[in-house]
Amino acid sequence: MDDVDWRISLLQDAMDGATGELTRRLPGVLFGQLQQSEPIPIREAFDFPLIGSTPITPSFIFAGQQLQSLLALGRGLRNIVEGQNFYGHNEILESLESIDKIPISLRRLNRLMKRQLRRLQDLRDGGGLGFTIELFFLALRQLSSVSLTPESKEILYVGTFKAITSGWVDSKHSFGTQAILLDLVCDLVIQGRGVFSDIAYPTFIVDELLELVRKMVDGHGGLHAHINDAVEELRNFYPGESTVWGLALLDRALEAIIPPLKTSH
Amino acid sequence: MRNDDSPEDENNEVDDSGNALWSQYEKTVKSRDKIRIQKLQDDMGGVSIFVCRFDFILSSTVSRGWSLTSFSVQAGLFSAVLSAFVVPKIQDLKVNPADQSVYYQRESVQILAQISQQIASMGMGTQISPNLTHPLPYPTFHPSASDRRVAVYWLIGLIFSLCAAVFAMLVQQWASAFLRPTRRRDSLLKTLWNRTVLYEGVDRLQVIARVVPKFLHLSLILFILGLSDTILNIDTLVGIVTVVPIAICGFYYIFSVVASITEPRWPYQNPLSNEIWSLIHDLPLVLYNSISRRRVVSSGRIEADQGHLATDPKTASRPQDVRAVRWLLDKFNGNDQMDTFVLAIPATFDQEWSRNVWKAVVGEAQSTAPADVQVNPSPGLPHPREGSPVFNFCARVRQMFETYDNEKDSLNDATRKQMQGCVETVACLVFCADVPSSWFGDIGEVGKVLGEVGHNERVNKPLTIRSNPPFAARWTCLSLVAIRQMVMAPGNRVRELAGFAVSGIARFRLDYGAPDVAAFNGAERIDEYLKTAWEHVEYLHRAFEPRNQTRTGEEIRNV
Repeated sequence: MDDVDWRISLLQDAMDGATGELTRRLPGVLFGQLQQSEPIPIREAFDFPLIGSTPITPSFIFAGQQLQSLLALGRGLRNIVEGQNFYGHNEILESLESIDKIPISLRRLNRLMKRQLRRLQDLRDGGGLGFTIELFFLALRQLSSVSLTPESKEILYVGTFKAITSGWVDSKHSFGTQAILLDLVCDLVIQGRGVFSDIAYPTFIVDELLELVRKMVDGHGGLHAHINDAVEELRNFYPGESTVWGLALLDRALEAIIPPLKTSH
Repeated sequence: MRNDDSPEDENNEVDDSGNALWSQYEKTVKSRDKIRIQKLQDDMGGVSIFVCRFDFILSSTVSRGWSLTSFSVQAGLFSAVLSAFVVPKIQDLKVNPADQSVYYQRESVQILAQISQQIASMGMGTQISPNLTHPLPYPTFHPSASDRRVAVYWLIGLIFSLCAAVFAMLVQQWASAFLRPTRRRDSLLKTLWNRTVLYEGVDRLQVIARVVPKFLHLSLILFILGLSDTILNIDTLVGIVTVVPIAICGFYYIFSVVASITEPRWPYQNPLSNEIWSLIHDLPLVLYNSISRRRVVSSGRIEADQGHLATDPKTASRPQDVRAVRWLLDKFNGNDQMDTFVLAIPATFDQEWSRNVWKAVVGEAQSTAPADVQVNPSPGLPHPREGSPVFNFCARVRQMFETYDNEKDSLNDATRKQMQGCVETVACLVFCADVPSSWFGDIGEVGKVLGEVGHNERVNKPLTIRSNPPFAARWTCLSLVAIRQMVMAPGNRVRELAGFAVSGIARFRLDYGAPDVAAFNGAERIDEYLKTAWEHVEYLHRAFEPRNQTRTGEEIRNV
């Protein structure tokens, strides 16, 4: 695990170097830091900001570091009970108390590493298209309250999206990029699924995303498990009758991923 | 003229001391009135030069302020020319004494010849006829139709000309009278009340002022008609030679009237254009109102139509707007006002027509140019025409980025504000006008400056987003595009190290098979570890909650 963390920290440093730490300045985007010394306290390891009830996880996760901080708590408690640790016992108890302050949603995070793997594959094979789109959606969530006119917003955000995705053809066959985009679409459709759930992104941006997804997966349907998984997940999701918008979005998402004639929702 | 020191004024004294609002109002209306009246007087001054000369002598006294003490009017230019023609023409309308005298002289000669013939007959013994032919009276005078026509033309023309002179003089007098109350030493409020009462009349003043040039035009037209008629009757050849240039000028005059009515973009309107335009537009309205018994108001004058045309986004004259923006870019590029100009650009992107104009300006710059006069920003992107205003402007913004980067350790508020404007301008041009980001220089350098700006302005802090939302949004969008290009740029190790991290995850489970499949299994396993670890920690947490403090040592060890 330490080796994985170290490799990811190397990548993060390279990213900082390539972008002049510009990624760290973006609103709504979080980057962690690998601590070289002792295991860090749980609260520090899971110090992710929440927007609403949704935690914003860092773009690069040091899973080994998080695991170490969780294991350190169990080890410390065992030592206290067995009478072996008299000096760190206040710290352990404080750590135990701090769990109360970590929201439940942060303790139930799943697929963190799988999503990270797709991000890494996207950076390796897709030129970081999926990674940048994720940053865009994270920033957009923070900027949702910005008081621009709707028309100005649309032009600015659509213009940005188009500029970012202008070279999408080069990333079309990147497994990681496709998977990130599909995850993003599933997050948008399925409430409480991930970082991009529980926020109503502007329709014009969702439309642009679905159009991109349609182009990206065109010709890949049925060949890749991650596309089939996404379709399956969407088909199994029922947004409820009260959310007409959710149903419409679900239909549009399915139409984007699979050709309309094959949609059997 | 009112005396300001009269008892009536003293009784109506109004205390307006210290009323800042009225002082401000007075200041505003004074300058506005001055401009309006000055324009009116200038217009009338032009008429005066043509028709007559006014000599206004203004004098100032300490007690009475400004007053008009004397003026004189002298006939001049047009009126004088017209008068010179009219006076002899009037003589043609009555019996000419010279003609009458010639007639009677001829008759006298004829009688004398007859008498002489009779005397000669008597000498020869011939019988003399007692009957003498008496001279005929001078025939009744009838002026020719041409003389009548010409006299009517010129007399009416003279009347119009003199009326124009009188009205011009009166308008100037009235305009001076309007400004007079503000010059007095009345109390502020009284002055303003006077002004308000008089101000309502200024509109009527303008109606009269508009009539004056029309009179002049009519007078001139009548004079030319009369002149042509006269000369054609005297000598056909000379008449034709004279009428031809008059007809050419007349054609252009009529063309200017018709053109300004049919195409409001044309600048050839004259005072008669408005009248004819109003007639064309109002006649159907009058008919419609009389038939339907409704009251639909006319849209006004040609100027209103021109204003509508100029501001209507659908009919906005794109080429003119494009040329205007290009000229602006050219003018401001590199001069002292460049900073102000850069700060002003983002607001122009709030309207659709304005964005379209910018797109057209950029489109022009991207138009094909010979390869030897182009710069090559980056492969696959549109080529800007070197020397085009947009390209030069982008180069200037690039310099501003470089300056900011060099001065990042000693930034003042002005520099920071300027850079915010630069970032917003670049974002607007890139996202709304399709300017390639590479026109602003190497993306790595731009990204570096964006990073500095983001750090100094703390763009990722909610306070910044709230206090300067457009900047935060535009900076973020521009940064995202820069990040995308910087990540893809050849030479950095992101791609290589991403692959290195994937292989690290693949090695986690020591699985055999395709590296990506092994990495997926490794990532899945790590997620499971995290999930399991959290479950255990939560279990421990529940076990050590205060309400469970009654556990025995054995129970705790089991936990």
